[in-house]
Amino acid sequence: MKSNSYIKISLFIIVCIAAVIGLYAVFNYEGIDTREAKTEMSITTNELFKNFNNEKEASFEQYIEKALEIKGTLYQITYKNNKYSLLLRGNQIDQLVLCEMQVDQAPIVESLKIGDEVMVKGILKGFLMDAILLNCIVIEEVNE
Amino acid sequence: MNKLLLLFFAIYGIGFVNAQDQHITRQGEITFFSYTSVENIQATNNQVLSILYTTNKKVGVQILMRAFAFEKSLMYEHFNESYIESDLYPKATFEGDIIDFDPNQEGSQTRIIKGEFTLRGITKPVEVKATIVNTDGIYSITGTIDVPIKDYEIKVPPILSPNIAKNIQVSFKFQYAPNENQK
Repeated sequence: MKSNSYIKISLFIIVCIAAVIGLYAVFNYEGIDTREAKTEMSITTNELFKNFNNEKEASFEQYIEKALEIKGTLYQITYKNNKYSLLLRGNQIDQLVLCEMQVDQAPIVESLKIGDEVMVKGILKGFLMDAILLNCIVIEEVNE
Repeated sequence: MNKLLLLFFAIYGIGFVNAQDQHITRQGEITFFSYTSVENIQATNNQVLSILYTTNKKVGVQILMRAFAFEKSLMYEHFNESYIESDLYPKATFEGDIIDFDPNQEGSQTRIIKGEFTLRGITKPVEVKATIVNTDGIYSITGTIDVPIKDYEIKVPPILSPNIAKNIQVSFKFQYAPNENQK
């Protein structure tokens, strides 16, 4: 009888510990690393805005919160709140792709030059004047 | 192109012939704070679009709600899925007039901006006290505003009510540059 009680108490304690660890993990989860996210679409800045401007904004709704790879010309690098952002352009100058980079991308970003052709992967958040992606990483750089 | 954006520019672009009077930031900063005794929640959006028109002293702002970054992924999910319903209302907008703004005055001036703020499809009149700084024709606008969550019908489940402030403090910082691409 006594050993039965010990087993029940032990099991109860194990379940409690597992629940606490599980809840802690859920509440403190900081989101997926973009490297691990499945790429849903690979596209150039020109293709992106051609489709977007042809009244196909709705067709991009399925990609919101999904990982996209976008290739374009590096137009500007900005730094705000400890994060770099890359602004990519295509043929049009009035519509850009804004990619806020993951913090660990700083050394890579610092090696880039305006005018470089780069491919970034990031999570699409939507469109204002520009396409906006967060948690971006550089996956390809072609210096010209 | 996004119809809302076209409307935004149609309203604010009327009557402008001089490229120098349109100033833009694509990376304005908005941070909101929810302070309660149970939990403090903060999120920042560094990708806010704003255009300042110095001739008719108007300012327009567009905010992509999913571009707010939170400390924890769960907070982001609650914010977008339960409170803001970002799939239905992806953007918030502000359009306002800067009262007694003198665009030629160098340095700092504190002014009231009267306008309308739209969140979750609900538009309310608001007045914001803002500091506008002009340094050699480069403008910045900063300020804070309290947003009562009941005004925008943001529903918080009773169990989470102690965690969410009734008034959300929103601070903004826009650093403009002349819009060289103005058509």
